[in-house]
Amino acid sequence: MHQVEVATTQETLLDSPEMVLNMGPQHPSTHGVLRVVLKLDGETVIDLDCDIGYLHRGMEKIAENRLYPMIAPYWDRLDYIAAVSNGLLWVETVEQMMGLEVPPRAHYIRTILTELNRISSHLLWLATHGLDIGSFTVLLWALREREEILKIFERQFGARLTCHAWRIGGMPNDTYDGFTEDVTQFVNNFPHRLAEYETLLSENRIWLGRTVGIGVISAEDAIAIGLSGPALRGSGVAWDIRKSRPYAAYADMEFAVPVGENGDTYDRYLVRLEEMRQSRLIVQQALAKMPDGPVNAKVPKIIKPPAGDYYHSIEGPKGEIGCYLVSDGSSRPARVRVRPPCLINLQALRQMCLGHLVADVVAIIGTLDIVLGEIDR
Amino acid sequence: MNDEPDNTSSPDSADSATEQPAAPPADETAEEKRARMMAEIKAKAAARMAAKGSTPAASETPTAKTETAAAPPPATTPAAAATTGDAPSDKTPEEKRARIIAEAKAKAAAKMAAAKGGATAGGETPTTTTSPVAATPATSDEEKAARIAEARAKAAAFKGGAGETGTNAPTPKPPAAAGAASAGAPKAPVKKKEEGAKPTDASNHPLVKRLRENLDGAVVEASEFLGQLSVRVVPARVVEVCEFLKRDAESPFEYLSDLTCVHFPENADAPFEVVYNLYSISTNARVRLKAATTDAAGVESVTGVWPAANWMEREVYDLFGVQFLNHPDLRRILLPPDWEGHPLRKDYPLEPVENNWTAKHLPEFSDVQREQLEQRRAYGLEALSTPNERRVREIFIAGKEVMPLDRK
Repeated sequence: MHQVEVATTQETLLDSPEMVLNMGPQHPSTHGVLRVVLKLDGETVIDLDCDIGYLHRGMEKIAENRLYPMIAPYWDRLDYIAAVSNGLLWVETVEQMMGLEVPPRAHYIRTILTELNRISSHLLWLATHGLDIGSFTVLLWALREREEILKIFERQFGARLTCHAWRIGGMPNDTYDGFTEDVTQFVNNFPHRLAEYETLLSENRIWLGRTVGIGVISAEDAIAIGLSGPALRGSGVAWDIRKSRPYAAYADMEFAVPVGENGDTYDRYLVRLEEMRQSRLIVQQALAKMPDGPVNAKVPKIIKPPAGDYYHSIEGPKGEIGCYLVSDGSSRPARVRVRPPCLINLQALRQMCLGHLVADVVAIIGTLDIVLGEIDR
Repeated sequence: MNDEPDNTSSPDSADSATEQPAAPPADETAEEKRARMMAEIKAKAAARMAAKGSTPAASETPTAKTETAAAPPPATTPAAAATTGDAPSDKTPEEKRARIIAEAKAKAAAKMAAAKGGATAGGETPTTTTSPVAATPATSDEEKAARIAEARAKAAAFKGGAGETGTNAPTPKPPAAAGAASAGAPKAPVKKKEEGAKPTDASNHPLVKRLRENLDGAVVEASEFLGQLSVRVVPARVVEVCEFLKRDAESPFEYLSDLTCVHFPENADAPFEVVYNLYSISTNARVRLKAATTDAAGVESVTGVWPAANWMEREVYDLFGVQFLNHPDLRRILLPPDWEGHPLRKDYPLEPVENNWTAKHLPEFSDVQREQLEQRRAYGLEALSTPNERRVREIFIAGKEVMPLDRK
């Protein structure tokens, strides 16, 4: 809540038991260019301040000066781990504002690929989170499975990370030949892989010691501070936008919303693992039910949503990613606001770290699953 | 990082034939400067080609040169530069045609200016004159202006009689529409087949009724757009409304989804609209609060209601300069603490800015480095060969309008 005061004279530094430690912006465990200023008493964190903005590119300003279809690739660069998911939010916002009817097949393909994106994002989270806490093997194993998903993305979109996956009104093209086989193969193999991670971590003494009881946040506090996504569900709040306000084809899918109990790092780990299983189920269902037909709606040549404002949000891998779009009726938006889940989740870092050891700060940053591209925009 | 004159652009030996255009005015914008640089570079290239000895081009170069030199630097639009620039490399007929086009354009521009002057003197309001009208050579300016006014009046009468919802002509909007759309300034009469959804009044919404009953006078108006409820509140009573909504028995809005701001420079008395997107996890309801204010007056901070507002309010303060009273820690969050200006305001430039911060923190360029940088920028423009690419480039640089009827 308040700025960490740095003692400037030698006298105060020596006299007090407190010490100020600078962590980042070039620190492997801050997942990007996050700088955290820690005030320590011995090894205990007594105050903390985050310094962000190293990656600020002014995307909201840029978006005000682009045509609507031109803005889509910028969304990929926000949370570049979940580019497919972010892109879906942008096209859905514009579509809903214009009242475009997207064909059901496009909705199903979007659901499949967005869920695959969620799995890949969670896998990267697992890999880096494990690496931060000291488990190197899980990094290699998780990236192996993520590679399979990225290969599907590459075949479908022509790019692995920043896919520019969707177009307003549908998709750039239908699925490639062999899409179903590739996805089915991944879906069939994935449970074994998840079981492998669980043998590595879930009952590992070191893992339990580093995660159980670390970064506890109650449900009330989590709601008040604005946590969303798995970070909120780890505290026991069963709020998932895929359930509460279904978009794409989620209304037709059956899946469970896993929640934790204690709101600690271990519970959030369990929630994310279970989410990957549920995502796999969604992919399976969508693949089985996928209808035939066109993948594009009839879209006017010039995209001009009616004058007004609209807020739409989806359940991204990190939490509620929202788009507040103000249109003045012209071919460019008057304002594009990204509701960044990572920024608002990171806000809870101070609250979650106070009283913990320095080493736990790394675990808590990992469990919040932040991506600085989205925080700084 | 002082702005330096442009005579640094390439000390080329081959361009002795090319004369420098008149000294640039000090107040030219970056876009004009770039356009002028492009024109210079192209003229030089043409001269070099002429020197190499391609005979038909050699006879034509003086024309290109005079065109470049004759055009006063601020008036050199990118389009004009493109016309002159393409010409020297072409064969003779094209060259000639380009020159003729340029001349015609200049003439048309002069006529347009005259027509505009006549029209405004006559008390009419056609601020824009479309090019086909300007290009008709026979009529005199007064006649033309009168004809335009007549045509416009006819069109307006037709529209007024035809329908009230079909266009967004600058007819008086319903207050709810003006509020939620908050576009403020009336639009140019763009002809459209069908408009999209319009905001509707939502005074009958149960939540709005409850708010009006319990907090007398806090709600200014309520509107619904595409099924989303927006409530405009008195900025001084934002915290009161938020407290009420958070503790509302029927649908407690315990979750602050988003807090942001929108800048409407046309609303001079309250240009900044702080927007709160609230969500009720228990009842799955959403509502949007809006409070229009000025940057100095600001609004009361809602960090006491939702701690989540802390960083979002800091971001609004950082990027818009709106004050939040009683905020526990109001300082910049994304930009450096000593940055000047607030980038998300509409009057903030899209181009790279140079200010005290950049002078202090970014490396000082030597003359050679700066020259290389400017050459690279100029090359970047030149490399875009087709007109379409150039048009896109212009959009990227200056936010230039693509649709001529957009955003009048």
